[in-house]
Amino acid sequence: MANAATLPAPAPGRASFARRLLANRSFTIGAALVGLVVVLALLASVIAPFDPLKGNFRARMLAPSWQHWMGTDHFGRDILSRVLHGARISLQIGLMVSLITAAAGVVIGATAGYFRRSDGPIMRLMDAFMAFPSIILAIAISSVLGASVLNVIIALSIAAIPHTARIVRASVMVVREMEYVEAARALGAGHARILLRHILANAMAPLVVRMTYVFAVAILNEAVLSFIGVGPPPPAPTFGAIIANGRDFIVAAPWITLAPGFAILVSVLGLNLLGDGLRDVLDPRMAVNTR
Amino acid sequence: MTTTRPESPLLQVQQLSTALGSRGPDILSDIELSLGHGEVLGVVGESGSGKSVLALSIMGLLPSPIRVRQGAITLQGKDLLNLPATELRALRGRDMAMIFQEPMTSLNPVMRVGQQIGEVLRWHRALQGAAAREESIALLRRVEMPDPQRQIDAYPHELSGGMRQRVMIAIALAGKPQLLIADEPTTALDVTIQAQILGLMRKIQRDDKMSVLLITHDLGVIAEMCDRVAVMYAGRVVEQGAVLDIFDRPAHPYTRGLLASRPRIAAGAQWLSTIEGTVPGIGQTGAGCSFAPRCGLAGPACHQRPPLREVGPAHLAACVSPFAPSPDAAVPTAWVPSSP
Repeated sequence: MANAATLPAPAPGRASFARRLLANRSFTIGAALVGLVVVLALLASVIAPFDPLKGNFRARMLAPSWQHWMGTDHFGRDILSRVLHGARISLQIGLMVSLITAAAGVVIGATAGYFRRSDGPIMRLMDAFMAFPSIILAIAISSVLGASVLNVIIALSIAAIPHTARIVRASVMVVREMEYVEAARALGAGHARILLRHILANAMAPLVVRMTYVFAVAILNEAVLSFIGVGPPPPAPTFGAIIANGRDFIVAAPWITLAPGFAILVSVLGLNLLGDGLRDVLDPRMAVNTR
Repeated sequence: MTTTRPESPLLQVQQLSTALGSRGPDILSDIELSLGHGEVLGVVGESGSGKSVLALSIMGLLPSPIRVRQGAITLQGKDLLNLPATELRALRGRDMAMIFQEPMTSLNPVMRVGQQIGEVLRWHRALQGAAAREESIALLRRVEMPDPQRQIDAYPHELSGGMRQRVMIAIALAGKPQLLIADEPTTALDVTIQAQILGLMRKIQRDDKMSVLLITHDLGVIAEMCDRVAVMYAGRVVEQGAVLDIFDRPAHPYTRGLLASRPRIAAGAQWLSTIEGTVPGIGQTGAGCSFAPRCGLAGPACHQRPPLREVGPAHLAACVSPFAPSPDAAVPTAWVPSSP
């Protein structure tokens, strides 16, 4: 072994973190799947062979072929094009929901976890929200607000916030008791500084993992809302809307349902693997041996 | 009421009592301390004697169920206990700073060393950017950090325990405090590093004429570092005086017991003398002298609490019979094998 004094300084934190992420198989597979879906969604208007909204009455309910890779629906719309454009809306909803949920979860959870007095009232309110199954809450909110992409985002966010707030709160409560937080206080740091720089910066790991899960669940739940008719209004192609359309023809033309179903599978599986990998790397104690 | 001093002390703690909750038992009772400019005061005592609570009371950082019941703490004439929160916060880090026991956990793991020093420079000395970086490097150099130019960008996990404690000291010095409170600063370090850190603290203290309140349970550290000592037992100061007086002429039986309980290599194989019994828990002290149940000299007079009184020049003890010849701590209970 080389003399320790002559070795180069260990690269500060980041590089080794990236290396550990790339060495995690679950993370790399998940990232590849999510990356694939994201790229296809971004390029939808370029690579989609047909207009996703325009029907063709001479090409109704066609089985998959070279011309229509995933077949057509009862209006003669190309399913592949609809799925590609649908991925856009679904990912958009998933991303917005996970960002909004994270922001609100941090504000609520950090307040409850840091200021002891506020903990009781805030968390009891969150408990009340959590008493409803989240999908029922989302259906209720969405049907009250009316069908639109924005309202679906709001409904799914509200449904996901309580649990996220609880995770952030738990994480903040652990870090709050760390000696470096007291040390910062002894040096004259104010509440805002302590909370942001010393507590939240060290309490982020569970939230990052939670965000991938919220993202995945939002995609699934959007499909549920669309399926039962309280999602984004037709003819907008979302995964759930395409499945709902295909429901009536599931025996005659199963490809209408299978194609978006497969797209959901790939997106959600990718996100979950990504989240698992992140969790293993961020918190080695939780690691399940998946290598 | 105590000795008169030519100048007013930097820090004065008067009749300080802290309790668990508003009606709970006392953790500290009637603490009287003063710390002059450029003086090093050691606070020594067993675990649970209230040393750390004393430090946190001075910093105004008592954890929530513990509160100050009565007394006053003045730093440079300012009454710390009645200061508005914002003013107290401004004092922390600038007029008084604190070094904690555990260097492995007292640094924020996600911030670089330079950022953590820089925070204090920005808050208390309005230094930013290149100036702050330069000053941070200078501070690291002062605490004898090897290769400060590079280590300023290190994360705490890349540093050893001794280096982290150096960083802690640099952070504490960044605000140029008058008073440095060091709570067991070397307990978590191994012996050679301990000596280095103590030497460094002594040097900086002398150079800056800084006042240091050094909390420790290690009498060796006291002998090496301090000008004066306060011996604490069960939340009270039982003896206070100059280091030499305390070591040569300990007045309180507890102090004598402590001094006798040090293992000595020179003495070879012998029974290590100990103090029988354990420190009473919070709220378990009666009306009398709290050391009486463990004291070989206790008599009827000890059923009343002895006040801290002068037993020599600038030497105080809370005992009815100071300097009484000790029956030398009764039964020996621990065997120390001879060292080669």
